[in-house]
Amino acid sequence: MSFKGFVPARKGSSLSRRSLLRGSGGVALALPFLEAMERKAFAAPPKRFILVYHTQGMFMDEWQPKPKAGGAPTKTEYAADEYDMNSLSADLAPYKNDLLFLTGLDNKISPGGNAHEVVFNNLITGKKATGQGFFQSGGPSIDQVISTKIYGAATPRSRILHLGPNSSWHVCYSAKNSPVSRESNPAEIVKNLFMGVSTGGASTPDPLLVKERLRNQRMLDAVKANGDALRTKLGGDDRRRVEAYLNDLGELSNGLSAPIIQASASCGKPTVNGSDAYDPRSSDLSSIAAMALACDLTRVITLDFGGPDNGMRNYIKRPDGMPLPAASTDWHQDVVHRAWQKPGEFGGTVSNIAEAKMNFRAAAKYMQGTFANLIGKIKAVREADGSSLLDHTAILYVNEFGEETHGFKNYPFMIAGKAGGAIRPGRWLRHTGISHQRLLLSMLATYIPTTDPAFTGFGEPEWNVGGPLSNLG
Amino acid sequence: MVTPEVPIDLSVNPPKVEPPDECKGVSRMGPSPMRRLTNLEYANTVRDLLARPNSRELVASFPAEGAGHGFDNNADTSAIPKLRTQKMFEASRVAADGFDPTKELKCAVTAVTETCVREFINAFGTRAYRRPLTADEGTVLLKLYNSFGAEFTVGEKLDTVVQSMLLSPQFNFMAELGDESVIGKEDGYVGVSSFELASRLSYFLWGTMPDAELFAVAQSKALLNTSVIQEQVKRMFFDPRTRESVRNFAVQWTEQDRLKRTKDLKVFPSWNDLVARDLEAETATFIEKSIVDARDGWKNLMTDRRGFVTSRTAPIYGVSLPSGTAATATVEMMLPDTRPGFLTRAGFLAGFAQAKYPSPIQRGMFVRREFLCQNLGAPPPGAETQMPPPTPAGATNRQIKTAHSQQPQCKACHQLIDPPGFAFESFDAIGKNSLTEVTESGQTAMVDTSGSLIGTDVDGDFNDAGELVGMLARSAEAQTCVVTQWFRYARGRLELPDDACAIADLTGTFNASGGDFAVLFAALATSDGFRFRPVTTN
Repeated sequence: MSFKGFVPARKGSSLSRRSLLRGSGGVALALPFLEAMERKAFAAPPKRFILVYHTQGMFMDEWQPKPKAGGAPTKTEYAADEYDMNSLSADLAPYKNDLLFLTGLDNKISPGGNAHEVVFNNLITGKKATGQGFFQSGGPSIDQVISTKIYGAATPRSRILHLGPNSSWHVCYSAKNSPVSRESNPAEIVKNLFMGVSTGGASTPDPLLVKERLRNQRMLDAVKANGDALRTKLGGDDRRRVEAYLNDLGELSNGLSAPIIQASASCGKPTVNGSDAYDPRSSDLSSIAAMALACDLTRVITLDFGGPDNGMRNYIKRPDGMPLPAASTDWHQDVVHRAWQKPGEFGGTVSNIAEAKMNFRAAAKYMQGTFANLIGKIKAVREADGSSLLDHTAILYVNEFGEETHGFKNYPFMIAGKAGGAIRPGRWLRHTGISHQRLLLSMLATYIPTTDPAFTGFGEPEWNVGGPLSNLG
Repeated sequence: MVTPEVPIDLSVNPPKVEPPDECKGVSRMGPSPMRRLTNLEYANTVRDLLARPNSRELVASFPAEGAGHGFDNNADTSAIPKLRTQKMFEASRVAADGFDPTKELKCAVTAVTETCVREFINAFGTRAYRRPLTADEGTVLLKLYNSFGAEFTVGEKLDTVVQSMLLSPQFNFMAELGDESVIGKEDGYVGVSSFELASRLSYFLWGTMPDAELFAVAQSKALLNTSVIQEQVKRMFFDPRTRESVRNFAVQWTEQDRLKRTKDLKVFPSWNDLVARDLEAETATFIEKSIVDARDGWKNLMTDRRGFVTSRTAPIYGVSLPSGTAATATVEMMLPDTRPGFLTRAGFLAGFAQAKYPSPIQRGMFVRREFLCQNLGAPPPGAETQMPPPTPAGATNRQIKTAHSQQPQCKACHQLIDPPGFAFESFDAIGKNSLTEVTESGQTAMVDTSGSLIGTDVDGDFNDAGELVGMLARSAEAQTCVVTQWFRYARGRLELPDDACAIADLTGTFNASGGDFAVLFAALATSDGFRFRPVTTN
C-alpha cells in the first residue's frame, strides 16, 4: 500500500465530505476532481434541516407570543416587536428574532385509538396509519423525504438522535412501516459519526488506519459479492430485504473509504459529557447536531427528545423551588393527564390537578429551554463564508400534541433559522384551524422542487388542500 | 412420544374439536417469508459457531427488537435498520478478533497452502452459512484471503474471511432456496432442503444454529424423513437450549418487559427492579415447567398452583419461605387456592397494571388477545379514550373503569374486554391478593370480581379469577390460541387464513395427547408447513 495520490482535505477550507466522496473509488483521487472540489469549497453553504420532536402537548395560552398591546390577539401576522415571549417560552427570548411562531395549526387526523400511536405514525409523515400500534406509518416522514432527495435512497445519511432510554415510539420512517433507527448514546454517536474527522492535525494518514480501511473495504466487498449472488436467487420481499441490507453495507463501505476530514475552525469532534445548565445528554446531542452539520457529515438531523424523562427531571426546578416528583411517579398519568383534568374526573381533585399543572409547566418551560440551547449552538457555528449556520438551517419544532391533553388542535409550531432565505423569522403567524400538513409541505418545498414526486406524493391529499403555507419567507 | 410417569388427568382438557369439513383434503398453507436472526439468536449462534461463551455482550448495543404482533422473530418486523448494520459490523469484528481460526487449519500456519485455506473456508463456511457453500461463494472468500499481502498475518487474513461470513446475509438471514428434488406436494410448493430444515428445527427449538448431529442428518438427507425429524425433536426437546428458547417464548408472550415500568412507591414501597426480575423469572420458569416438564402441560399452564417464590416475592403471594432460605434462593412451593395457573401469577398481574391501580382493561385485553387470540384492535375513530366521564368521589377502580366503558361507542368492545379483567380485581397493581382497595379519595372499598364471559366457547358467569381460569382451561378456543402462539414462534410469522386447517390439525393432535407440548412440537416440526414452502414469485 502506498500513499501516492492520497489527498488530505485542506485545513481551514470547509470541503464537503460528500464532494470528496462522489466519484472517489478508493483513496486515489484524480486531479480534475480536485479542481472541482476547490470550486465547490467556496460555493454557498448548503441548506440544512433539523427537526425537533417533543411530546405531550402544551398549555398554548402560556406558550404562544403575547401581543404587546395586551388583550386578545386580533391580527394574523405579528412582527417580533409587537409581542413578548410568554411564560413557558421565556427561555427562547434571546432568539426571538430567529424564530417564526406558527399557531392555529391542527392535525386533521380523526381522533380515536391510542392517541400516541396515532400521532407517532401520522404527525410528520402526513399519512394515516396502516394499522394499530406503533411502527405503522403510512409513508416516509419529512426528514427522510428531504434526506432521500439530497443523498438518494440507497445512501441515507440523515441521523436521528434520541434522548432517553429505549422507548417504543418512533416518529421517523424511511417508507411505509419502516422506522429509522435512532441513536442515543452521545459517546457512541461521536465515535461512529465523526470517525473520519481527524483532530490530530497531521497531514499524513496513519498507516494502521490505512491498513484497517483496506481490510474493511475488501472484507465488505466479499460480503457484497456473495450477498449479491444470494439476492438474485431470492424472490419478492426476501430479495428486497437482502438488497436493503446490502445497500446499508455499501454505505458503511463508502463511509470507511471516505477521506479523512481535517478539523477546522468550524468543524471538529464535539465534546460530549460536558457540564451545562441543561441536562448534559440533551445538550450533548445538540452539540453533536451542530458539529455534524458544520462538518457536513449530514444535512438532515432529527432530535427526538420526547418528554422530560427520568434523567432530565433531576435538572428541572419548579417555581416554588421544589424538585419534580420522584421517578416513580407515573408522569404520563399523574402529571400530563391530570394537568388537563377537571376535579372529579378520574380521581382528580383541586389540589392534585394544581400540583400536576405546576409540574407540567416546569417541565414544559425547561424543554423549551433545551430547544433554545440547540438554537444557540447552531447559531454559534460559523460557515466557511463567515455566515452563521443558522442562516442556512431551518429547525422545525414539532410537538406530539396541541393545546389539549392528547388533543390534535392548535399545535405549538416554530421554525428557527432562515434556511438560506426561505424562512423569514422574527414573526408570529397566527392561523385558525388549518391543517398542519400545509406547514410540512412548506418545509418540504424549501428543500425539494414542488414538482418532484416526493413532494406531490407526500401526505394524504385531503390534508394538503391549500398547499404550502404562503408567507413563511 | 414421552411416556408420562403418572396417568394424564384429562378432566381439564377442553373437548376435542374436529377440524371443520372444509379442511378435508386441503393442503393450503401460508408463505414462509425469510427472516433474520434475532438479537438473541445472533448471540447464540456466534456462541456456538465460534465457541464464544459470552456472546450476549456482542448484541448488548444492538437496537432492541421492534415491538409488533407475534414474537421478535416475526419476519414482518425483522428488517435490519441502518444502525443495526453498523452494530453488526462492529460485533462481527469483535467476534472474529476473539476467534483463532488457525486452530481449525489442517496445515501448519507456517506452510499454508491454497488447498488448506479452501478446506477451512468450506468447513467453517458450512457451519456459518448453515449449508455447504456454492463454488462461487468459496471462490470469493478465497480471493479475499489472497488479496492481502505480507503486511497481514495468516490469522488476520483468516479473521477477515470469518468476519466476512459473520456479516453476510447468508449468516444473518434464514434464506431458503428450497430443494426441487424433495417430492410429496403438488405444484406451487417446493420442499425445504435438508439443511434449511435443520435450521428451522434448531432455531425453533433452540434459538441457535444446528449442532453436529443435525448437520449430519442434513448432510445425509435423512432429515427429509418425518420419522427422523421426530427422533431429532425427541433428542433436542430436553436439552437446556430448548428450555432457554421456551423461556424466551414465555417472556415475550406474556410481555414481561412491562414489569420494568415503575410502581407508585408511596403505595408499594417494597417494589423494585429485583422484585420485577424475580417475577419475570417466575413467569419463565412456570411456563418452562408447563411446556417442557409437564406431560399434561395444558393443565399445568392453566391450573397448576406451584409458585417459584423468592424472599422478595413471598410477601406478594402471602406465603412464608422455610426458615433458613437464602435471600437469593428460589423455592418451588404450592401457592394458596386463589392462584391457579399462569393467569394468577404476579408476573402477569403486576405487568398488566398501572403504577397504583390494577388495569382491568389491560388484563382483559391480554386474556382476549393472548389466550383467546381475539384481536379487538384499537378503539374506533371518534371514541374518547383519554378523558373519562366524571365519577363520584370514592369511586372504586372498577367503577371508574366501568363509567368509561359504558359509553355507547365503547361498549361493544369493552363488554368483551372488561369482565375478564375485573375477575382479577382482587389482585392489586403488584399482584398481591386483596379483597379491598383504597380509593383515590382514601376510602376503603370491597373489590368486585364477578362478571360474565361472552363471545367465547365457554361463556358464562364467574365470581372470581379462579372460576374464570377454570372456564378458560376447558375452552377449545383458548387451547387453539396457545397452539397458535407456538405456530407463530415456530414459523416466525403470524398465522394467515390459509393456515387455519394446519392449526386445527395441530390443535387436534395436542388435545388428543392430553396437552403434551412435546407432542405439539413434534407435530409442528413434521407438518407440511414446516417441510414445504409455497414457491415465491417475482
